[in-house]
Amino acid sequence: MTSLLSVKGLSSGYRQQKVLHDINLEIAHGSVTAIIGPNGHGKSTLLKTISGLLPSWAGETTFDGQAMPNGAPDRARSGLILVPQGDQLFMAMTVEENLMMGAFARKDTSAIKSDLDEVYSLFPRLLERRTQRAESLSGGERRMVGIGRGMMADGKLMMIDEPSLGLAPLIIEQIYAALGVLATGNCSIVVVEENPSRVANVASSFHLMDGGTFAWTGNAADLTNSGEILNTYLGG
Amino acid sequence: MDAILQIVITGLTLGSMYALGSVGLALTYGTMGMFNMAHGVFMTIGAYASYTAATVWGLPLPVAIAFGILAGGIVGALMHLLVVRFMLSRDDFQTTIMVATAGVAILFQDLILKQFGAYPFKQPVQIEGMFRIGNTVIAYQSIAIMAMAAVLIGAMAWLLTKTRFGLAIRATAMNQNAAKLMGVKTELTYLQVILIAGTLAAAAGILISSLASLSPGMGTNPLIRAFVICVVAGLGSVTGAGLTAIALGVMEAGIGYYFGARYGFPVMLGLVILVLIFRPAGLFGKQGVIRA
Amino acid sequence: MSRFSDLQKNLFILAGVLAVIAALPLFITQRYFLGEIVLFMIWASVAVQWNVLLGHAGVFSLGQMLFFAIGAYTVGMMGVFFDISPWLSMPVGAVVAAVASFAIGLACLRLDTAYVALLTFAIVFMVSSLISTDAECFITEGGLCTPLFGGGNGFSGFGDLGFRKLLKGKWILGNYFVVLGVLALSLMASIVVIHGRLGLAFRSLGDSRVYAAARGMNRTRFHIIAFVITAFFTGLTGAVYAAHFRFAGPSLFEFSNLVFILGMIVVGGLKSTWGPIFGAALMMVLVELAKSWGDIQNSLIGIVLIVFVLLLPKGVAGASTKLFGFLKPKRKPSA
Repeated sequence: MTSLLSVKGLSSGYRQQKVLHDINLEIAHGSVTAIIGPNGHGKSTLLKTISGLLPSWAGETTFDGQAMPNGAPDRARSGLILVPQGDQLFMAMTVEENLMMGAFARKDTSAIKSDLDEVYSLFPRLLERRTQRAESLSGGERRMVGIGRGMMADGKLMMIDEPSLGLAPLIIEQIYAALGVLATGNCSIVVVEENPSRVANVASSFHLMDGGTFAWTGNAADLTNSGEILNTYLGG
Repeated sequence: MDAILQIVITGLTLGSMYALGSVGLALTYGTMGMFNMAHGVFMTIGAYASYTAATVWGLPLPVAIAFGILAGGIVGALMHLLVVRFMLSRDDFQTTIMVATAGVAILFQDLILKQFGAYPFKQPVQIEGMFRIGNTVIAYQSIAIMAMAAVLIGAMAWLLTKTRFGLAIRATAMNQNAAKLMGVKTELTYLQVILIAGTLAAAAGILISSLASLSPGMGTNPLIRAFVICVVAGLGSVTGAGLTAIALGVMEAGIGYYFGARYGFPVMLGLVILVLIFRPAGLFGKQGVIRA
Repeated sequence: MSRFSDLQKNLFILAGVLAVIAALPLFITQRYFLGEIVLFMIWASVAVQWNVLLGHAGVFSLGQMLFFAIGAYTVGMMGVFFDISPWLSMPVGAVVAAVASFAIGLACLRLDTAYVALLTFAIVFMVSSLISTDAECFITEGGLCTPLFGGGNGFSGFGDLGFRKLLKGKWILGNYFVVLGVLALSLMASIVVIHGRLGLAFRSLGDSRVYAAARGMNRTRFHIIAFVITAFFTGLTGAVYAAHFRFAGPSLFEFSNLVFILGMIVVGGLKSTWGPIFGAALMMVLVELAKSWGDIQNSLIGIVLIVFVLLLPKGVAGASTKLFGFLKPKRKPSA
């Protein structure tokens, strides 16, 4: 069976500055993949490039058996969803409007309604806050809206950039509990984290990013056996 | 009492034209951070296109108006497709786009000058006659202006707040990248925004020329007022621009009545600067919304 | 190469440029062409000052023609009302322009870029419409009514720099060298600002506004300093314009003038030191050509602006730096 997402020889960067060098990545249907590694080594750049927010400089990408369209809007419409770092909510819209924006490209009204209910059952807090503007939410609530908005797209692959960034430990646990529930669904997930211990129980395959390339790749068992390698990179 | 009523009528007429002229400007700035120096020329184009349709081609009045409005939109769209589109991703977009649109403005102003000459003439697109309330004379034209402005601004407000199309515009204005990630085709959104701004400006131009006259430089005056209105409202605030326009229109009419028409704008500008000293982001603006 | 600082190097270039312009009358003797060079020097000075603001200090002022006009009007008003020689009124005009710019700067420069542009534009428009709609006579001479600020016609025919009496038929040469003197002052000031300590401050503010603020640099203060300095020299240039043409009127405020000079900066290269001078020369030649093609200069200016912003956003200076960088790959291209 072919992969859902297949990236070959991808490189990209900002202006003259090359950040990603020759990245190869395969994401299987229904899998949870974690990309770990220290800050500033290209994890977010990779997600931005795959999502189409940044143009790729070289390489081939196929998604769901087809060549990837150009530009973020068309990639989103084809089911490739990015939950960006720092949430990037529509601040002057309410919680529910933000969630509904996630379903902007969809036409299946009744399925949208049931997906909205699903988001509210996963994050009951958002139901309480549904008429509040996004700008009035706490950091944890904003993260929930960001993930919920991604869920509303009913995509085939959801890429989540640092879901724990800037949150208190207790909130991080809640977010990861939700991700655990999401992982049981149909949608494949890529999650980027600095700290591998957070994703160890959720993900099934792991990529360590260093200096714009994958320095190490393995599954959950490899991860526990390679503790020392990881520590050298992450300064554990 | 009569004086007050006269001021209010004049002010509302002015204000509704100003509103029509400035909401488009606010919309383009709010959505794409673009200050369109050619906005005034869109007004001129609308006015001359209506004039041409009515006088030269002899088309009926409503068709002439529609043609003028459409012409503004088309020129706006062309400007986007030929110029703006290629500059959107530049770092210094906010300043260079002002330079580029200033170039567009002077080009069209000169073309209109060459085609129609510098001598101002009368806009045939208007309604004659007036009625009285007490001693106050109200021209049908004033009522028509207010009605047309209300209809067009109302239509735009409905479009922005109640439709999917408006949702895309609002989302793009709030967060361009996030909108892309939701599948909003922001490039298309920008084109649509400039198209709307162009049509509204053209409509404003037709109305303004019906009160004053047609001349190649007729767009400058309302453009500067639109600038001031947008600055007071807070750049990018569309509702704010509409409300501020009405308020400043009434104020200008009052100052004009009591001190003479030439002081209307200077006093207004003085007040604007005062407002900005205390609220640097405008009355309705938020510092956070403005792109640095 | 590095024996001289950037500042010194540019001052040497300046000496060379001025020497070339000073030598031109040896070869060009027709009054028409000398007059065109005078006009070139005037616009070049305005463009250079504006570029210091726009390109280097990052102040997007659209009000430069106001300060130019203040200088011109000071000479015109002092000449018409008090018969004062331009030699005396020119420095006064520059100072008045600087004072006015200080007041406007205090009111506007705290604001964001777009606000600054719009407000300065609106202020210029307001002043020009107040002046040209003024019909109240301040003095009436021989049935000729002159409002305080000249009204729609402005001031003309006031006392000149005195060379007509002194040099007779060659009076324009006297004016030529006075204008050259003003250009020299204006260019020297711009070089000192761009390559001196102020320029350093502008670059750091431009690189990271937040960081500069964290280091205790007050952006508004530097902007006002730049605003006042450039207004002083723009005002001086306006004053010498009035002294040369014996004219100051509301036509100076016209939008086409503003765009014409903006064109010089964009064509020459925003953020460069010498670009606007090339730009001024190029635009002057272009306008001359356009006149002979049937009075299409404004259309042409518009097209040139659009084309340059789209295709050569760094202007001629940027394109030549690129070329130099290509020829000498080791040298880091400096703007």
